[in-house]
Amino acid sequence: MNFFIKAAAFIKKSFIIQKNYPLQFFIVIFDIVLGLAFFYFLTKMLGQDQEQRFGFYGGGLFTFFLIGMAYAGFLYTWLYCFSDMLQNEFYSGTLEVALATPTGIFQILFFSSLWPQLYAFLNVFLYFIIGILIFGARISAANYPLVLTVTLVSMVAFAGLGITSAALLIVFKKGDLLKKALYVPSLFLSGVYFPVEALPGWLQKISSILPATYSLRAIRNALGGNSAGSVYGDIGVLAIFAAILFPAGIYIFKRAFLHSKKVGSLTSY
Amino acid sequence: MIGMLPLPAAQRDTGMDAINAKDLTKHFFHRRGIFGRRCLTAVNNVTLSVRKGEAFGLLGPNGAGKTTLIKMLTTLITPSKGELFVNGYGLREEKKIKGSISLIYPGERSFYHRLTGRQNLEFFAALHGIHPSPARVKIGGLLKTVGLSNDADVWFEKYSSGMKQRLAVARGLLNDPEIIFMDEPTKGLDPIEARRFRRFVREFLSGEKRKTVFLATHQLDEAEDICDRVAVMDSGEIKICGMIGEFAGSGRTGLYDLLVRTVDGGKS
Repeated sequence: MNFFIKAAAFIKKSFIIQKNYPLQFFIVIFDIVLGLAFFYFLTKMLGQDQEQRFGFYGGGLFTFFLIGMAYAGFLYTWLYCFSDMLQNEFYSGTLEVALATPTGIFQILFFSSLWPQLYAFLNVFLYFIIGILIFGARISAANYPLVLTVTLVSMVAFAGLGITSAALLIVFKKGDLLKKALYVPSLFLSGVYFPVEALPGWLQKISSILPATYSLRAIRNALGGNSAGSVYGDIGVLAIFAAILFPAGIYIFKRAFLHSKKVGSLTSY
Repeated sequence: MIGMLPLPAAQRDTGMDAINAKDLTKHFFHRRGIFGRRCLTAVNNVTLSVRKGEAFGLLGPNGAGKTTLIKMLTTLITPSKGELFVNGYGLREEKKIKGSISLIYPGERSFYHRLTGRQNLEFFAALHGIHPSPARVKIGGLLKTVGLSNDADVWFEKYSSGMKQRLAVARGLLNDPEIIFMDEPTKGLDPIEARRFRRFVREFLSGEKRKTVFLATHQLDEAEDICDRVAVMDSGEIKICGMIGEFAGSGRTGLYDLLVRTVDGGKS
Protein backbone atom coordinates (compact mmCIF):
# COMPACT_ATOMS: atom_id res chain seq x y z
CA MET A 1 0.00 0.00 0.00
CA ASN A 2 2.86 2.32 0.89
CA PHE A 3 4.23 1.68 -2.58
CA PHE A 4 1.14 3.19 -4.24
CA ILE A 5 0.93 6.07 -1.77
CA LYS A 6 4.50 7.05 -2.53
CA ALA A 7 4.13 6.55 -6.28
CA ALA A 8 1.01 8.72 -6.27
CA ALA A 9 2.76 11.38 -4.16
CA PHE A 10 5.67 11.64 -6.59
CA ILE A 11 3.37 11.84 -9.61
CA LYS A 12 1.13 14.40 -7.91
CA LYS A 13 4.09 16.52 -6.86
CA SER A 14 5.58 16.58 -10.36
CA PHE A 15 2.19 17.19 -11.98
CA ILE A 16 1.49 20.20 -9.74
CA ILE A 17 4.94 21.66 -10.40
CA GLN A 18 4.45 21.15 -14.15
CA LYS A 19 0.99 22.69 -13.94
CA ASN A 20 2.48 25.74 -12.30
CA TYR A 21 4.52 26.39 -15.43
CA PRO A 22 1.57 26.53 -17.89
CA LEU A 23 3.54 28.12 -20.71
CA GLN A 24 5.81 25.08 -20.91
CA PHE A 25 3.00 22.89 -22.21
CA PHE A 26 2.25 25.27 -25.05
CA ILE A 27 5.94 25.49 -25.92
CA VAL A 28 6.00 21.69 -26.20
CA ILE A 29 3.03 21.76 -28.60
CA PHE A 30 4.63 24.57 -30.57
CA ASP A 31 7.89 22.57 -30.83
CA ILE A 32 6.01 19.51 -32.07
CA VAL A 33 4.06 21.44 -34.67
CA LEU A 34 7.15 23.31 -35.87
CA GLY A 35 9.29 20.15 -36.07
CA LEU A 36 6.61 18.21 -37.93
CA ALA A 37 5.95 21.14 -40.30
CA PHE A 38 9.66 21.21 -41.19
CA PHE A 39 9.66 17.55 -42.18
CA TYR A 40 6.23 17.80 -43.83
CA PHE A 41 7.41 20.49 -46.26
CA LEU A 42 10.73 18.68 -46.77
CA THR A 43 8.73 15.60 -47.77
CA LYS A 44 6.58 17.66 -50.11
CA MET A 45 9.67 19.09 -51.73
CA LEU A 46 11.08 15.61 -52.37
CA GLY A 47 7.90 14.65 -54.22
CA GLN A 48 5.62 11.64 -54.50
CA ASP A 49 8.29 9.13 -55.62
CA GLN A 50 10.41 9.63 -52.54
CA GLU A 51 7.32 9.31 -50.39
CA GLN A 52 6.38 5.96 -51.91
CA ARG A 53 9.87 4.51 -51.33
CA PHE A 54 9.11 4.60 -47.61
CA GLY A 55 5.84 2.74 -47.99
CA PHE A 56 7.26 -0.41 -46.40
CA TYR A 57 7.55 1.47 -43.09
CA GLY A 58 3.80 1.63 -42.96
CA GLY A 59 3.30 5.11 -44.35
CA GLY A 60 5.09 7.63 -46.48
CA LEU A 61 8.31 9.48 -45.76
CA PHE A 62 6.50 11.92 -43.49
CA THR A 63 5.19 9.06 -41.34
CA PHE A 64 8.76 7.76 -41.18
CA PHE A 65 9.91 11.13 -39.82
CA LEU A 66 6.94 11.34 -37.47
CA ILE A 67 7.72 7.99 -35.86
CA GLY A 68 11.42 8.88 -35.65
CA MET A 69 10.75 12.21 -33.94
CA ALA A 70 8.28 10.74 -31.45
CA TYR A 71 10.72 7.94 -30.72
CA ALA A 72 13.63 10.35 -30.16
CA GLY A 73 11.65 12.05 -27.38
CA PHE A 74 10.81 8.73 -25.84
CA LEU A 75 14.42 7.55 -26.05
CA TYR A 76 15.58 10.71 -24.32
CA THR A 77 13.15 10.12 -21.47
CA TRP A 78 14.15 6.49 -21.06
CA LEU A 79 17.80 7.37 -20.92
CA TYR A 80 17.53 10.50 -18.81
CA CYS A 81 14.48 10.43 -16.58
CA PHE A 82 16.46 8.91 -13.72
CA SER A 83 19.48 11.20 -13.83
CA ASP A 84 17.45 14.33 -14.66
CA MET A 85 15.07 13.86 -11.78
CA LEU A 86 17.88 13.00 -9.41
CA GLN A 87 19.72 16.13 -10.50
CA ASN A 88 16.59 18.21 -9.86
CA GLU A 89 16.40 16.79 -6.36
CA PHE A 90 20.09 17.60 -5.84
CA TYR A 91 19.59 21.20 -6.91
CA SER A 92 16.42 21.78 -4.94
CA GLY A 93 18.08 20.31 -1.85
CA THR A 94 15.25 17.85 -1.36
CA LEU A 95 17.24 14.66 -1.94
CA GLU A 96 18.92 14.76 1.45
CA VAL A 97 15.58 15.24 3.20
CA ALA A 98 14.05 12.42 1.20
CA LEU A 99 16.98 10.15 2.04
CA ALA A 100 16.49 10.89 5.73
CA THR A 101 13.05 9.25 5.52
CA PRO A 102 12.42 5.49 5.41
CA THR A 103 11.94 5.74 1.62
CA GLY A 104 14.96 4.06 0.05
CA ILE A 105 17.05 5.43 -2.79
CA PHE A 106 15.73 2.89 -5.31
CA GLN A 107 12.17 3.87 -4.48
CA ILE A 108 13.06 7.53 -4.86
CA LEU A 109 14.74 6.78 -8.18
CA PHE A 110 11.84 4.73 -9.50
CA PHE A 111 9.02 6.99 -8.28
CA SER A 112 10.82 10.09 -9.57
CA SER A 113 10.89 8.57 -13.04
CA LEU A 114 7.14 7.94 -13.20
CA TRP A 115 6.06 11.44 -14.12
CA PRO A 116 8.65 11.95 -16.91
CA GLN A 117 7.60 8.60 -18.36
CA LEU A 118 3.92 9.51 -18.25
CA TYR A 119 4.78 12.86 -19.79
CA ALA A 120 6.75 11.10 -22.53
CA PHE A 121 3.69 8.99 -23.35
CA LEU A 122 1.63 12.17 -23.56
CA ASN A 123 4.28 13.68 -25.81
CA VAL A 124 4.15 10.70 -28.19
CA PHE A 125 0.38 10.86 -28.19
CA LEU A 126 0.54 14.56 -29.13
CA TYR A 127 3.02 13.81 -31.92
CA PHE A 128 0.68 11.28 -33.48
CA ILE A 129 -2.50 13.30 -32.98
CA ILE A 130 -0.91 16.41 -34.53
CA GLY A 131 0.83 14.36 -37.22
CA ILE A 132 -2.36 12.59 -38.23
CA LEU A 133 -4.90 15.40 -37.85
CA ILE A 134 -2.85 18.33 -39.15
CA PHE A 135 -0.29 16.78 -41.48
CA GLY A 136 -2.18 13.73 -42.71
CA ALA A 137 0.20 11.01 -41.52
CA ARG A 138 -1.06 7.48 -42.19
CA ILE A 139 -0.98 4.94 -39.37
CA SER A 140 -3.94 2.78 -40.12
CA ALA A 141 -2.60 -0.77 -39.95
CA ALA A 142 -0.83 -0.57 -36.60
CA ASN A 143 -0.69 -3.63 -34.38
CA TYR A 144 -1.09 -1.86 -31.03
CA PRO A 145 -0.61 -4.85 -28.69
CA LEU A 146 2.68 -5.48 -30.47
CA VAL A 147 3.65 -1.80 -30.22
CA LEU A 148 2.95 -1.96 -26.51
CA THR A 149 5.04 -5.12 -26.10
CA VAL A 150 8.02 -3.56 -27.90
CA THR A 151 7.62 -0.40 -25.82
CA LEU A 152 7.62 -2.29 -22.52
CA VAL A 153 10.65 -4.44 -23.36
CA SER A 154 12.49 -1.37 -24.68
CA MET A 155 11.67 0.55 -21.48
CA VAL A 156 13.32 -2.12 -19.34
CA ALA A 157 16.42 -2.24 -21.55
CA PHE A 158 16.78 1.56 -21.63
CA ALA A 159 15.97 1.88 -17.93
CA GLY A 160 19.15 -0.14 -17.32
CA LEU A 161 21.12 2.50 -19.22
CA GLY A 162 19.18 5.33 -17.57
CA ILE A 163 19.92 3.99 -14.09
CA THR A 164 23.59 3.68 -15.05
CA SER A 165 23.46 7.33 -16.13
CA ALA A 166 22.06 8.21 -12.69
CA ALA A 167 24.92 6.26 -11.09
CA LEU A 168 27.40 8.36 -13.08
CA LEU A 169 25.64 11.47 -11.84
CA ILE A 170 26.00 10.37 -8.23
CA VAL A 171 29.71 9.62 -8.58
CA PHE A 172 30.91 12.23 -11.08
CA LYS A 173 28.15 14.83 -10.58
CA LYS A 174 27.70 14.81 -14.35
CA GLY A 175 24.80 12.77 -15.68
CA ASP A 176 25.17 13.59 -19.35
CA LEU A 177 28.15 11.32 -19.98
CA LEU A 178 25.87 8.70 -21.47
CA LYS A 179 24.11 11.35 -23.51
CA LYS A 180 27.19 11.91 -25.59
CA ALA A 181 28.04 8.23 -25.66
CA LEU A 182 24.61 6.84 -26.44
CA TYR A 183 21.78 9.24 -27.17
CA VAL A 184 23.36 11.25 -29.96
CA PRO A 185 24.87 8.19 -31.72
CA SER A 186 21.50 6.47 -31.40
CA LEU A 187 19.78 9.39 -33.11
CA PHE A 188 22.29 9.16 -35.91
CA LEU A 189 22.74 5.41 -36.27
CA SER A 190 19.49 3.76 -35.21
CA GLY A 191 17.21 4.86 -38.00
CA VAL A 192 15.56 7.82 -36.31
CA TYR A 193 15.77 10.26 -39.24
CA PHE A 194 16.91 7.97 -42.05
CA PRO A 195 16.94 4.17 -42.55
CA VAL A 196 19.93 2.26 -41.19
CA GLU A 197 20.36 0.82 -44.69
CA ALA A 198 21.38 4.26 -45.90
CA LEU A 199 24.52 4.13 -43.75
CA PRO A 200 27.87 2.75 -44.96
CA GLY A 201 28.53 -0.86 -43.97
CA TRP A 202 30.89 -0.14 -41.08
CA LEU A 203 28.41 2.27 -39.51
CA GLN A 204 25.65 -0.31 -39.91
CA LYS A 205 27.80 -2.69 -37.84
CA ILE A 206 28.00 -0.11 -35.05
CA SER A 207 24.28 0.43 -35.39
CA SER A 208 23.71 -3.28 -34.77
CA ILE A 209 25.08 -3.05 -31.24
CA LEU A 210 22.70 -0.25 -30.24
CA PRO A 211 19.44 -1.37 -28.58
CA ALA A 212 17.66 1.62 -30.11
CA THR A 213 18.16 0.11 -33.59
CA TYR A 214 16.10 -2.97 -32.69
CA SER A 215 13.60 -1.05 -30.64
CA LEU A 216 12.86 1.53 -33.33
CA ARG A 217 12.75 -1.01 -36.16
CA ALA A 218 10.31 -3.15 -34.17
CA ILE A 219 8.13 -0.14 -33.41
CA ARG A 220 8.13 0.95 -37.04
CA ASN A 221 7.17 -2.56 -38.17
CA ALA A 222 4.47 -2.89 -35.52
CA LEU A 223 3.05 0.53 -36.35
CA GLY A 224 3.23 -0.26 -40.06
CA GLY A 225 1.22 -3.43 -39.60
CA ASN A 226 4.03 -5.62 -40.93
CA SER A 227 4.06 -9.29 -40.01
CA ALA A 228 4.44 -10.04 -36.31
CA GLY A 229 7.23 -12.47 -37.18
CA SER A 230 9.43 -9.61 -38.35
CA VAL A 231 9.00 -7.97 -34.94
CA TYR A 232 9.55 -11.00 -32.72
CA GLY A 233 13.22 -11.29 -33.65
CA ASP A 234 13.84 -7.69 -32.59
CA ILE A 235 11.85 -8.19 -29.39
CA GLY A 236 14.09 -11.19 -28.62
CA VAL A 237 17.24 -9.09 -29.05
CA LEU A 238 15.72 -6.33 -26.91
CA ALA A 239 14.85 -8.88 -24.23
CA ILE A 240 18.52 -9.96 -24.13
CA PHE A 241 19.59 -6.30 -23.84
CA ALA A 242 17.01 -5.86 -21.04
CA ALA A 243 18.18 -9.00 -19.21
CA ILE A 244 21.75 -7.70 -19.21
CA LEU A 245 21.38 -3.93 -18.92
CA PHE A 246 18.71 -3.70 -16.23
CA PRO A 247 20.40 -5.81 -13.54
CA ALA A 248 23.73 -4.25 -14.50
CA GLY A 249 22.24 -0.76 -14.04
CA ILE A 250 20.81 -1.69 -10.64
CA TYR A 251 24.15 -3.16 -9.54
CA ILE A 252 26.17 -0.16 -10.75
CA PHE A 253 23.76 2.27 -9.12
CA LYS A 254 23.86 0.42 -5.81
CA ARG A 255 27.67 0.48 -5.85
CA ALA A 256 27.67 4.17 -6.75
CA PHE A 257 25.22 4.98 -3.96
CA LEU A 258 27.19 3.10 -1.31
CA HIS A 259 30.41 4.70 -2.59
CA SER A 260 28.96 8.20 -2.36
CA LYS A 261 27.70 7.52 1.18
CA LYS A 262 31.18 6.39 2.05
CA VAL A 263 32.99 9.38 0.58
CA GLY A 264 30.30 11.79 1.77
CA SER A 265 29.42 13.12 -1.66
CA LEU A 266 25.87 11.83 -1.79
CA THR A 267 24.10 15.12 -1.51
CA SER A 268 26.72 17.49 -2.88
CA TYR A 269 26.57 18.61 -6.48
CA MET B 1 39.17 19.98 32.19
CA ILE B 2 35.74 21.48 32.57
CA GLY B 3 32.64 19.30 32.39
CA MET B 4 32.50 15.60 31.86
CA LEU B 5 33.13 13.24 29.03
CA PRO B 6 30.46 10.62 28.48
CA LEU B 7 30.95 7.31 30.19
CA PRO B 8 31.89 4.33 28.06
CA ALA B 9 28.79 2.66 26.65
CA ALA B 10 29.34 -0.53 28.65
CA GLN B 11 29.05 1.39 31.91
CA ARG B 12 25.75 3.07 31.17
CA ASP B 13 22.14 2.08 30.91
CA THR B 14 21.98 2.19 27.14
CA GLY B 15 18.20 1.72 27.26
CA MET B 16 17.98 5.35 28.33
CA ASP B 17 20.12 6.54 25.45
CA ALA B 18 18.67 8.07 22.35
CA ILE B 19 22.09 8.23 20.74
CA ASN B 20 25.05 6.10 21.60
CA ALA B 21 28.21 6.52 19.55
CA LYS B 22 31.55 4.94 20.25
CA ASP B 23 34.81 5.86 18.50
CA LEU B 24 32.87 7.28 15.56
CA THR B 25 35.34 8.34 12.90
CA LYS B 26 35.06 9.70 9.39
CA HIS B 27 37.93 10.05 6.98
CA PHE B 28 37.55 11.85 3.67
CA PHE B 29 40.05 11.41 0.89
CA HIS B 30 40.83 14.28 -1.45
CA ARG B 31 42.74 14.03 -4.67
CA ARG B 32 46.18 15.56 -4.67
CA GLY B 33 47.70 15.76 -8.12
CA ILE B 34 47.09 12.89 -10.50
CA PHE B 35 47.96 9.91 -8.32
CA GLY B 36 48.11 11.25 -4.80
CA ARG B 37 45.34 11.65 -2.29
CA ARG B 38 45.17 13.34 1.05
CA CYS B 39 43.27 12.00 4.04
CA LEU B 40 41.20 14.45 6.03
CA THR B 41 39.76 13.23 9.31
CA ALA B 42 36.50 15.13 9.68
CA VAL B 43 35.37 13.27 12.79
CA ASN B 44 37.90 11.56 15.01
CA ASN B 45 37.00 8.87 17.56
CA VAL B 46 33.90 10.59 18.86
CA THR B 47 32.32 8.80 21.80
CA LEU B 48 29.04 10.35 22.75
CA SER B 49 25.77 9.57 24.39
CA VAL B 50 22.57 11.56 24.42
CA ARG B 51 19.79 10.58 26.77
CA LYS B 52 16.17 10.30 25.77
CA GLY B 53 14.35 13.59 26.15
CA GLU B 54 17.58 15.55 26.44
CA ALA B 55 18.33 18.72 24.48
CA PHE B 56 21.93 18.32 23.46
CA GLY B 57 24.03 21.01 21.81
CA LEU B 58 27.05 20.47 19.63
CA LEU B 59 29.09 23.65 19.60
CA GLY B 60 32.06 24.42 17.47
CA PRO B 61 33.50 26.70 14.84
CA ASN B 62 32.92 26.25 11.11
CA GLY B 63 34.66 23.14 9.82
CA ALA B 64 34.76 21.48 13.25
CA GLY B 65 32.98 18.36 11.93
CA LYS B 66 29.51 19.05 13.36
CA THR B 67 27.62 18.53 10.10
CA THR B 68 29.60 15.38 9.26
CA LEU B 69 28.77 14.00 12.70
CA ILE B 70 25.06 14.79 12.24
CA LYS B 71 25.09 13.16 8.81
CA MET B 72 26.59 10.02 10.30
CA LEU B 73 24.05 10.01 13.11
CA THR B 74 21.24 10.33 10.57
CA THR B 75 22.74 7.58 8.34
CA LEU B 76 23.40 9.92 5.41
CA ILE B 77 27.13 9.20 5.58
CA THR B 78 28.70 5.86 6.43
CA PRO B 79 31.25 6.08 9.27
CA SER B 80 34.80 4.95 8.50
CA LYS B 81 35.01 3.40 11.94
CA GLY B 82 33.08 3.10 15.17
CA GLU B 83 29.78 1.93 16.57
CA LEU B 84 26.51 3.78 16.50
CA PHE B 85 23.11 3.15 18.00
CA VAL B 86 20.24 5.53 17.44
CA ASN B 87 17.09 4.82 19.43
CA GLY B 88 18.59 1.40 20.09
CA TYR B 89 18.96 0.58 16.38
CA GLY B 90 22.35 -0.21 14.89
CA LEU B 91 23.54 0.98 11.51
CA ARG B 92 22.30 -2.22 9.89
CA GLU B 93 18.77 -1.14 10.79
CA GLU B 94 18.99 2.07 8.81
CA LYS B 95 15.32 2.12 7.86
CA LYS B 96 14.25 1.88 11.51
CA ILE B 97 16.63 4.68 12.45
CA LYS B 98 15.19 6.87 9.71
CA GLY B 99 11.66 6.12 10.82
CA SER B 100 12.39 7.33 14.33
CA ILE B 101 14.29 10.55 13.64
CA SER B 102 13.95 13.75 11.69
CA LEU B 103 16.38 16.32 10.41
CA ILE B 104 15.60 20.02 10.41
CA TYR B 105 17.68 22.18 8.08
CA PRO B 106 17.72 25.90 7.57
CA GLY B 107 14.49 26.33 5.62
CA GLU B 108 15.62 28.20 2.50
CA ARG B 109 16.33 25.09 0.47
CA SER B 110 15.06 21.53 0.69
CA PHE B 111 11.48 22.33 -0.33
CA TYR B 112 9.74 22.50 -3.70
CA HIS B 113 9.34 26.19 -4.45
CA ARG B 114 6.33 25.82 -6.73
CA LEU B 115 4.33 23.77 -4.26
CA THR B 116 2.39 25.29 -1.41
CA GLY B 117 3.44 24.68 2.16
CA ARG B 118 0.63 22.15 2.56
CA GLN B 119 1.48 20.34 -0.68
CA ASN B 120 5.12 20.10 0.39
CA LEU B 121 4.11 18.55 3.69
CA GLU B 122 1.73 16.12 1.95
CA PHE B 123 4.59 14.94 -0.24
CA PHE B 124 7.02 14.42 2.64
CA ALA B 125 4.31 12.71 4.70
CA ALA B 126 3.96 10.18 1.89
CA LEU B 127 7.72 9.55 2.03
CA HIS B 128 7.20 8.57 5.64
CA GLY B 129 4.47 6.19 4.50
CA ILE B 130 1.67 8.18 6.13
CA HIS B 131 -1.66 7.58 4.37
CA PRO B 132 -3.24 10.65 2.75
CA SER B 133 -6.29 10.98 5.03
CA PRO B 134 -4.47 10.89 8.40
CA ALA B 135 -1.71 12.94 6.80
CA ARG B 136 -4.15 15.74 5.97
CA VAL B 137 -5.39 15.84 9.57
CA LYS B 138 -1.86 15.76 10.95
CA ILE B 139 -0.63 18.44 8.56
CA GLY B 140 -3.54 20.69 9.52
CA GLY B 141 -2.56 20.34 13.17
CA LEU B 142 1.14 20.93 12.53
CA LEU B 143 0.51 24.00 10.39
CA LYS B 144 -1.55 25.37 13.26
CA THR B 145 1.19 24.53 15.75
CA VAL B 146 3.84 26.43 13.76
CA GLY B 147 1.48 29.29 12.96
CA LEU B 148 1.19 28.73 9.22
CA SER B 149 -2.49 27.80 8.92
CA ASN B 150 -3.36 31.00 7.09
CA ASP B 151 -0.48 30.66 4.63
CA ALA B 152 -0.68 26.91 4.10
CA ASP B 153 -1.90 27.25 0.53
CA VAL B 154 0.64 29.81 -0.59
CA TRP B 155 3.58 28.77 -2.77
CA PHE B 156 6.70 28.04 -0.72
CA GLU B 157 8.70 30.55 -2.77
CA LYS B 158 6.47 33.33 -1.42
CA TYR B 159 7.29 32.49 2.19
CA SER B 160 9.59 34.63 4.31
CA SER B 161 12.69 33.02 5.83
CA GLY B 162 10.91 32.64 9.15
CA MET B 163 7.92 30.96 7.54
CA LYS B 164 10.20 28.61 5.63
CA GLN B 165 11.89 27.62 8.85
CA ARG B 166 8.56 27.03 10.56
CA LEU B 167 7.51 24.81 7.66
CA ALA B 168 10.79 22.89 8.07
CA VAL B 169 9.86 22.31 11.71
CA ALA B 170 6.39 21.11 10.73
CA ARG B 171 7.98 18.71 8.27
CA GLY B 172 10.34 17.51 10.98
CA LEU B 173 7.37 16.54 13.14
CA LEU B 174 5.41 14.66 10.47
CA ASN B 175 6.61 11.22 11.57
CA ASP B 176 6.41 12.03 15.28
CA PRO B 177 10.16 11.39 15.64
CA GLU B 178 11.84 10.44 18.89
CA ILE B 179 14.95 12.45 18.01
CA ILE B 180 15.06 15.72 16.14
CA PHE B 181 18.39 16.69 14.62
CA MET B 182 18.94 20.35 13.80
CA ASP B 183 21.90 21.72 11.88
CA GLU B 184 22.24 25.49 12.21
CA PRO B 185 18.45 25.82 12.26
CA THR B 186 18.29 29.59 12.72
CA LYS B 187 20.78 30.42 10.00
CA GLY B 188 19.44 33.38 8.03
CA LEU B 189 16.65 34.22 10.47
CA ASP B 190 16.21 37.67 11.95
CA PRO B 191 16.74 37.91 15.74
CA ILE B 192 13.03 37.97 16.55
CA GLU B 193 12.22 34.94 14.41
CA ALA B 194 15.31 33.13 15.75
CA ARG B 195 14.21 33.80 19.30
CA ARG B 196 10.68 32.58 18.54
CA PHE B 197 12.15 29.41 17.04
CA ARG B 198 14.33 28.75 20.10
CA ARG B 199 11.42 29.25 22.45
CA PHE B 200 9.35 26.84 20.35
CA VAL B 201 12.06 24.18 20.54
CA ARG B 202 12.59 24.67 24.26
CA GLU B 203 8.97 24.92 25.35
CA PHE B 204 7.14 22.78 22.83
CA LEU B 205 9.53 20.15 21.48
CA SER B 206 11.66 19.63 24.56
CA GLY B 207 9.17 20.66 27.25
CA GLU B 208 5.75 19.55 26.08
CA LYS B 209 6.57 16.79 23.60
CA ARG B 210 9.66 15.48 25.45
CA LYS B 211 11.55 15.01 22.19
CA THR B 212 15.26 14.39 22.16
CA VAL B 213 16.86 17.38 20.44
CA PHE B 214 20.32 17.26 18.92
CA LEU B 215 21.38 20.74 17.88
CA ALA B 216 24.54 21.62 15.97
CA THR B 217 25.31 25.30 16.09
CA HIS B 218 28.04 27.84 16.48
CA GLN B 219 25.69 30.32 18.06
CA LEU B 220 26.25 30.27 21.78
CA ASP B 221 23.02 31.99 22.75
CA GLU B 222 21.12 29.40 20.76
CA ALA B 223 22.79 26.56 22.65
CA GLU B 224 22.14 28.32 25.92
CA ASP B 225 18.46 28.90 25.13
CA ILE B 226 17.77 25.37 23.99
CA CYS B 227 20.20 22.86 25.46
CA ASP B 228 20.56 21.00 28.74
CA ARG B 229 24.02 19.76 27.88
CA VAL B 230 26.62 20.82 25.35
CA ALA B 231 29.76 19.42 23.80
CA VAL B 232 32.42 21.48 22.10
CA MET B 233 33.80 20.02 18.92
CA ASP B 234 36.94 21.14 17.14
CA SER B 235 39.11 19.54 14.46
CA GLY B 236 36.80 16.53 14.41
CA GLU B 237 37.09 15.79 18.12
CA ILE B 238 34.82 16.37 21.10
CA LYS B 239 37.01 18.47 23.33
CA ILE B 240 34.70 18.86 26.26
CA CYS B 241 31.18 17.89 27.24
CA GLY B 242 28.96 18.81 30.16
CA MET B 243 25.82 20.43 31.54
CA ILE B 244 25.49 24.08 30.67
CA GLY B 245 25.20 24.98 34.34
CA GLU B 246 28.51 23.30 35.10
CA PHE B 247 30.55 25.77 33.15
CA ALA B 248 32.15 28.51 35.13
CA GLY B 249 30.37 31.86 34.99
CA SER B 250 27.28 30.10 33.69
CA GLY B 251 25.34 31.74 30.91
CA ARG B 252 26.49 33.22 27.65
CA THR B 253 29.85 34.51 28.95
CA GLY B 254 30.62 31.12 30.41
CA LEU B 255 29.87 29.38 27.13
CA TYR B 256 31.85 31.94 25.18
CA ASP B 257 34.84 31.46 27.47
CA LEU B 258 34.49 27.73 27.19
CA LEU B 259 34.45 27.83 23.39
CA VAL B 260 37.40 30.22 23.17
CA ARG B 261 39.47 28.29 25.69
CA THR B 262 38.68 24.97 24.06
CA VAL B 263 39.05 25.91 20.44
CA ASP B 264 41.48 28.78 20.48
CA GLY B 265 43.48 28.02 23.56
CA GLY B 266 42.38 31.37 24.99
CA LYS B 267 44.28 33.40 22.39
CA SER B 268 41.27 35.44 21.27
